[in-house]
Amino acid sequence: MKSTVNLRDLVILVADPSAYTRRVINGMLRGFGANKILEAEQSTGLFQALSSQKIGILLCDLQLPPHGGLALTRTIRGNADNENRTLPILLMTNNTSEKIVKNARDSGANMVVAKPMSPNSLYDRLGWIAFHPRPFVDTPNYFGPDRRFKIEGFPGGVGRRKGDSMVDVAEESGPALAQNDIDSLFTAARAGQS
Amino acid sequence: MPPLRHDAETFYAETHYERMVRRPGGSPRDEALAAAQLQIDELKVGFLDWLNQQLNQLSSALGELDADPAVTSRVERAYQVCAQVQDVGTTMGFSLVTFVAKTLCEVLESMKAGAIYDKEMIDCHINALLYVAKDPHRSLTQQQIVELSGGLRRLAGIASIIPGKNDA
Repeated sequence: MKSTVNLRDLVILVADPSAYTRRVINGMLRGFGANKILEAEQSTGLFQALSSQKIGILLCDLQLPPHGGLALTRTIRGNADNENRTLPILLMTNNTSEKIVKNARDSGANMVVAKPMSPNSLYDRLGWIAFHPRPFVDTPNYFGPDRRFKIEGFPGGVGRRKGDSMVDVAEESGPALAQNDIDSLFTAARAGQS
Repeated sequence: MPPLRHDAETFYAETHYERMVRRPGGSPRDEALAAAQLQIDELKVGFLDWLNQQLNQLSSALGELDADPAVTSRVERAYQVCAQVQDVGTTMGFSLVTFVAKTLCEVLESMKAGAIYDKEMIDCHINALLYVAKDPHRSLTQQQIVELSGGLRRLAGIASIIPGKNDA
């Protein structure tokens, strides 16, 4: 059974300079079942909203005035005393060049979504953040979700981080294919050569 | 060989978001997407009025820019209006509007980075934007007007040439 995304009673903060874009995103979220959506047109005053109530997730435009979504994300992640430090942040941008996406990742954003947005792209990202959480990484110069999406471990269990370890591989329990299947593959390959 | 230094801590933090979203009772994906599309369809009723307002604002911002292209705040203002059009065009079913607004945004971004102001290039884009925002063109796709879309792409490429920066 596929997981469903339940946004009921979750407070979602949508920060975008365009009132119309906020309405469109608001509409999509309501379609997904959200009923508590806050809006902000700039980051000034946004921290007040963050401290006055429990925000579940922040959807923030990369160009949010006055300093932009990257700076806002870094500020949220950078304050060790801030209870919202691990708040999921989804950055929205109309420029998905590699440089921009890398910058978003390095600022500590959970994910990036391209504008114009479709309901599919927004729904899938909201689900991904909830159902595929990544560990947080705390270093002297970065705090945020692990920037490596796929953790496969390191040879000998030695990695750059304390948590890095060998990948568990199951014991071999016989051939993956039955002998009959292997024989038919060879037969088909020979037939193809002749 | 010195021992490896571990100066990074990793930890899992189950957030309020994860707990809330994983609760049972959410709508199945297909139903959620259909409901979201219904909400968008309701907004489409007022979209053309909004789009016309934005295009008027953009024309006005580009007029001010033309009066003094060296004023960076004017480039920024035009860029912001254009980006808003780009951000919702496709969502509201006007992919060609988003496409032309995107190429104009690229031209304006190049100007912010130091490219020379070219009035004809800007005029060409705003005229194209006004053209694709009207019936029957607004329901067309890029593939249906290959010359226009190809021409705008080439213009955006030319606009990205910044004197002294792109020179090999």
